[in-house]
Amino acid sequence: MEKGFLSIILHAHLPYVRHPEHDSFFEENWLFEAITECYIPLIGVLDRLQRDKVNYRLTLSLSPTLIAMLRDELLQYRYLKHLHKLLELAEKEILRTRNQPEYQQLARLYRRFFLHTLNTYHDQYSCDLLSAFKKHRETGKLELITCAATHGFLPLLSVSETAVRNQVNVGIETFKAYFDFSPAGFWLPECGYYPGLEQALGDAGIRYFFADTHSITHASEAPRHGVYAPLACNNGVAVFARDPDSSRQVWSSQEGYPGDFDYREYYSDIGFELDMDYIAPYLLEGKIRTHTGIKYRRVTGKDSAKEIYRPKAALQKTRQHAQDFINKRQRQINTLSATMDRPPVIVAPYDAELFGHWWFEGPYWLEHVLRLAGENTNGIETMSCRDYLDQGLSLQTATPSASTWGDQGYSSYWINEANDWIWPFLHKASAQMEKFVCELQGLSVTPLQERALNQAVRSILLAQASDWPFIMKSGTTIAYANKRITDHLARFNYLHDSVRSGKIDERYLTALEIMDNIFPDLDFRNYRPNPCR
Amino acid sequence: MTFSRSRYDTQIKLSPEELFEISQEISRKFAPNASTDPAFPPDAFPSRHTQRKFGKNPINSLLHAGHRSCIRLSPQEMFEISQEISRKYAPNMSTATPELVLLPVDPCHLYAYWNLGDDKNITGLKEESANPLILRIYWRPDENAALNNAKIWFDVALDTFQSRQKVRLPIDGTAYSAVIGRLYPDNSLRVFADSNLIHVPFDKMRASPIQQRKAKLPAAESIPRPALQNHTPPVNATETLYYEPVLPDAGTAGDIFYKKDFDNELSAKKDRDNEILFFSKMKSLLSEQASEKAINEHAIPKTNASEIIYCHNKNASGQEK
Repeated sequence: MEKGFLSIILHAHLPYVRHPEHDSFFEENWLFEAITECYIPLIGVLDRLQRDKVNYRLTLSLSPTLIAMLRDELLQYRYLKHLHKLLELAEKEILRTRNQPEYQQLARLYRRFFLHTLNTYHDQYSCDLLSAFKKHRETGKLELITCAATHGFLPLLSVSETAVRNQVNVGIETFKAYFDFSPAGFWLPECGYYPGLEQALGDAGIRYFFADTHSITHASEAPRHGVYAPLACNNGVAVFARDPDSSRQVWSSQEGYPGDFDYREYYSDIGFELDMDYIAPYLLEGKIRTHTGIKYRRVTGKDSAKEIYRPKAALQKTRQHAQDFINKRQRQINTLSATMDRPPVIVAPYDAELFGHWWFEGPYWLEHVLRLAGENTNGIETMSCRDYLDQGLSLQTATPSASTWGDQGYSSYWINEANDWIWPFLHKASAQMEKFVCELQGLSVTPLQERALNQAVRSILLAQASDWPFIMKSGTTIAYANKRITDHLARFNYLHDSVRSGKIDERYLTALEIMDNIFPDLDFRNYRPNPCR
Repeated sequence: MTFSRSRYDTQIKLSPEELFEISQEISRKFAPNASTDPAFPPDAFPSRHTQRKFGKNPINSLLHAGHRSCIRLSPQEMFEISQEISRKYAPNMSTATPELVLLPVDPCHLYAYWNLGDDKNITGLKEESANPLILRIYWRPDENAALNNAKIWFDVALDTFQSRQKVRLPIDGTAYSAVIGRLYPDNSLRVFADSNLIHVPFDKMRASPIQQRKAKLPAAESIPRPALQNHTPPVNATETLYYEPVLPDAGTAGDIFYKKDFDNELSAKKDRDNEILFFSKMKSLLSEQASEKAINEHAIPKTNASEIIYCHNKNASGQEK
């Protein structure tokens, strides 16, 4: 049996959604749903693997916006409020389904699930989920990396090198401020790479990053080992490519595991199914139907009526699918080893939010995969990309090709008829900031001016998030994405004008600092091009 | 990744002024009572679980104070400030000087946006508007060479009322730059701004790009069809290719480079001839590169086919700065 490496990477990211100017704000639920369905179940997986002394390696990319939100006391407070609402709904459901034993069993399951979530969140980790990831990192099992400050889509921001470097550097600094170490790896937002980006990464101390398959297969030199060994860019920063096979098995809507008929159906939710009078207190503004998180159906089939969810059967499937995944990796490794002078590394990156949110049973599947790989009976060893580089193997040098992991593989999802209008504004704001910072070099600024300038950079960063053009294209919450970009650009314009005109209203500035309180340690002086340095 | 629906999904359309008025009215009528916390009324969070940690609500102080400020603000006040800033400082793209920016979209497309600045000579004069606004896109296989050495370009007619456009490209895995200007009847181009240089990647759908790089030409079926009802041959047709722009119409938005007049057989034949010329020229250039001939040896004077006037390098009287 040949030996090979499997590197699973979960990229956890949500845009910065925090609205203290409202008593409650619906889009904050994005975070709350992800905490309940993804992050706490993932921590559960890690805790169980640790308890059972499983030998595994897993990489988790935490975006700086997510780090900031998970640390934020207002959001922690609001999450607890949200969780209690869910518990209240589960209690009501147990009563409502008292004459439907199958449904009541599920309602009880949801109550247990929410209580366990509350216990993990509040009692075990004192509302600080990052401490859980930190703990598992310290055991040597979990590799933590990060990504660009607000998940800016770097290929289209690259009109300004300063904008790109700022995204990279602020991201890394945010990570370091909490975790007290520098990440070795970097997740490029949307896997968006363009030749030359490695320079900013290398300068920031990054050793490796990830790119999509065609970034390597279409590199400046034919990759000797395909996507099963990293390439070194000209500055020595390594790039690992996504393995298309392991990706398809999980991502694909046709072939992927999450579409199995026994798994829980995401789109069937009591928020859309029950009487309005009953469910209204748990809906958006008490009247707009939305997901509550309580779902009683399974995928069942393409055209058939949705049948009731059977958790035991679904969990059984996760074991089968994990075994299938491992078997296929094993065959892949056996085939690859025949032509490679080194053990192949299969890189399998996924959005962390796939596991638990879209694919409810995903965390269990992941747990089984890591357990199976840890058994040492199949030639597969899980490892992080840093572990791979630490082996000291020589790497082929080449420049990867520009690519993303989005639809079509390039930038078209982030620049098209739905969102193209944003780019001139983003570039203009960045250029204005850069110019201003250069002009201010060597001059002293007052503490108030400094606060305003720092806040201006925060506004630019928040406007640059790749989530807004993504949402505009996907058509989900377009008005919110539009509003976020225009609000942040307006805030930048206001701050820029205020400082230039010497008329800073501290009350207004304070309001902006409270609303956009991300990156407290940011220094506007770093927003300048290289020649200024 | 996004979750659920947005509170902003609504059919009701309100102008910023209306929104502001509503906001003001609500503020006047429903201003929070200073004696209670507007964000978290006492009965908002009765649970025993959270009372353990949040017996007295610690968020109050956090919510109201800025980073380094003693100023305290209610949610309502912050909301009003946010609304006012968004209304008064909404982004706009006006710039004093003309600019042109290219962005690579994918192997076959670039994206251009431009701003003609506030020079009335560029944007306002009637006689000027009779001359079409043109995006001239230069093929820059040698990225380091000066723009003047760029031998091949194509023109895309622009809608004066637009400020951005997606453009289809003839060749992947190469570099492009562009200028924007007005094209005069004598084929001269008055340039308002030049762009950054961009590089588009090789098409991932092509099987073996490494092997194909020697030829650098796309497979036959993917060769784009440049549109040209060309008539006047370039002054120096053996050295330069010149494409007359195709004016946009309803069916070609965002892709006007490909407009073709298939109804006109003669025109179609001319198009084919031009295509052959275009790609044979590219092919010959690539062979030259392959044999490591310096591209500068074959550089043509920049004023051969259409005289390029760099107006932004001249002062009001037309003299070079």
